[in-house]
Amino acid sequence: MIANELYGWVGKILRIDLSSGKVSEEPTMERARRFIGGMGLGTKIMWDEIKPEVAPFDPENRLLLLTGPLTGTLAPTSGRMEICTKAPAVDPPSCTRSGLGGAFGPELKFAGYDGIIIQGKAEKPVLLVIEDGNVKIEDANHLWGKDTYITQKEILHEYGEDFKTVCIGPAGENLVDFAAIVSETGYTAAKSGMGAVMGSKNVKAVAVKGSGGVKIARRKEFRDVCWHVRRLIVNHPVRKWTLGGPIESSVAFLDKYRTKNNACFNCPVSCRGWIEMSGMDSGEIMCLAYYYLWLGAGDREAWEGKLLSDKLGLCQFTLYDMIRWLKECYELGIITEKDTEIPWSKIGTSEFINVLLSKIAYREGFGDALAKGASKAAQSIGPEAVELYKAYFPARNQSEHYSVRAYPVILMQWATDNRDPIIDAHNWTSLVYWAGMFWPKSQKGALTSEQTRARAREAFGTEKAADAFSYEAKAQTAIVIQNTSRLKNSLVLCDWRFPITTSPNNPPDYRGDPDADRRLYCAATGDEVDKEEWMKMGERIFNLERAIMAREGRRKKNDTVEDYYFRVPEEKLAAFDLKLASPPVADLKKFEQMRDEYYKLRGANLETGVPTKEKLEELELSDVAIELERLGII
Amino acid sequence: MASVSVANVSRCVGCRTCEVICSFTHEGECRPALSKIRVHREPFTGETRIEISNDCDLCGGKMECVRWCPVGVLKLQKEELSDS
Repeated sequence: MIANELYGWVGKILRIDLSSGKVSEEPTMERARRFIGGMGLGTKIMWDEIKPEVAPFDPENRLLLLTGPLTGTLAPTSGRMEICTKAPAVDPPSCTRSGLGGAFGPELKFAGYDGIIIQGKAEKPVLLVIEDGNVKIEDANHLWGKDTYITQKEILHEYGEDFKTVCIGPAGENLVDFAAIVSETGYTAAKSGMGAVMGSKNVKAVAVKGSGGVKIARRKEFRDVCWHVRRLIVNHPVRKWTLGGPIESSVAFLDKYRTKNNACFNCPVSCRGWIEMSGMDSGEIMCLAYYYLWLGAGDREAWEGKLLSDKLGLCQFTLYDMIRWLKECYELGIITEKDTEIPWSKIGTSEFINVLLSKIAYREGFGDALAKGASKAAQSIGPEAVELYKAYFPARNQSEHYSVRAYPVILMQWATDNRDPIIDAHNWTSLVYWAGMFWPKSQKGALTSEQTRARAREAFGTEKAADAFSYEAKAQTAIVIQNTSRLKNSLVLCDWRFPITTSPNNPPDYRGDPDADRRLYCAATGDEVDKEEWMKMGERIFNLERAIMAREGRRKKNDTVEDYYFRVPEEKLAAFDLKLASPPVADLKKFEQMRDEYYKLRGANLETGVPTKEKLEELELSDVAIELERLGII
Repeated sequence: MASVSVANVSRCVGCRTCEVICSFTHEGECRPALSKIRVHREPFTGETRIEISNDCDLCGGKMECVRWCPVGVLKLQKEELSDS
């Protein structure tokens, strides 16, 4: 690497201290050589700067907006970025991350920054405006209280249509536990309460514009790998389902109201449906944005629910499970319409979603209890509500994402992460669950069981990863998923398509190229990293996360999910889940064996689950080992 | 003279891959601001504008933006022969 010429990274991190108003820059490469960018870089900064006693809304907390060395480049799906902070929606609060698509990340790099560290707290609402290295902290009193659509429209009107924006709605301003950071009409960093942290710092929005570029070390090679990757993922089936999966209600909705697809920056998949409905605002839809439709709403009401949650800045994923849980509480008489002043008998109507979301975002009445997060709300309602809550929130106040009971690898991931672990690590679900099990067999790219096993062996080092319901080899599978997902989220590439474990464009065996992300990284940055070293980098990032968890008090006893999942069989599998002969329940004994196997393979202490000194030293994290030793943790 | 033209702007997904490949090919870096093709997708109406600068040289015949566009929005427009 040439000392003064950087490739991939643009070289500077912006630090904005809102308490003092001081703006400074620091070199990216002090940390990026070992931690890449995005999630890896965020983990390193959180280890360095967010001490365990810092609470999410303390001014000392950091809000990190981070790109990676591939962000903004020709690498397909290079539009993503990561946001890291000590997050309130994880119970107990934990240093964690959330991804964001769109075009904000690339624009930040074009403006000259690999990332922004926001710290302190502004006295009054502010808007951060960044244009080609010029940073302004502007008054945002006129934007405070406004929804995310109006806020962004006003910023674009005032500063220019080429700015890219992230912002919060009233939910973030009012510190709602599961408030999201929103960009445009549907890119959201959600499920962990990033929006509330932004609100706690009095930051209404960040607007960025840049005219710079990202240099590439080995241009011919990079271009070739980019074309290869593009060929493997272009016209992917998720494009027609917009990540709703082949679910009938979503597909019918799209057929009626989708006028085109939208893509994040430089993505050849374009998985986001553009919805136009007469008399209503337009916007993008994908995945959990169908939440109100899936709860039984009519088309217009479903779209209203989607728009409302984005405008107020609320996480749709959390809302989906919160509503399902509270509906059950209502039906069993645990809560009433009279006490809560929320019309639970009218779920699916415009009235219901308006009343509920407004009460949460503005913290009125029962909405205030819900705004503290589902786990705290459950405790305030009572033990029956807590028991029902567990059916929807397997661990750490995070709502379920794929069946924890049916699939041991999902259970293993849930047990050892600090948030919904699948949301940025669909490695196994994309391959085994979707292409291998649930795509219609007529779909191009749907795999036979032999093909699934072969692709699983390439992706996870064991074809037993394809045995979805067995505990065998799932510790190893989970470890590979965790390490490789840290890498993609550090580059930052899209979780839905990386690593490329299979390709619908590659008949007859639909082979992918799980090594493509490493090759993109090497060609872009000029770093020479072989496969072994690459996996070690992912392992390093994950172990540093585990060290932060340990410092925050996480131990083996916490490396699990709610006891509910080991004792209550799953009666209502999600609509697209397999109809199993007998309802699944997680097996505690097999889980504990799997977890021990996991600790052994990870080089973690079998009694505590914390990474050992030897493992940390092997990963060149000796400073971390020294600190954990000093604290008496290892 | 032949030129790159927009076949169907309503299909544009706004990915801006054309901007990236254009600047990468001509300037050696991923730098949309220097691209000869610019895409603007208005976030709230979805309306998309594509502007192609007069100094587009078709990459010496390779027409990278046409090749890399994932949804076939761009095409080669050949010069129409005049009646004379």
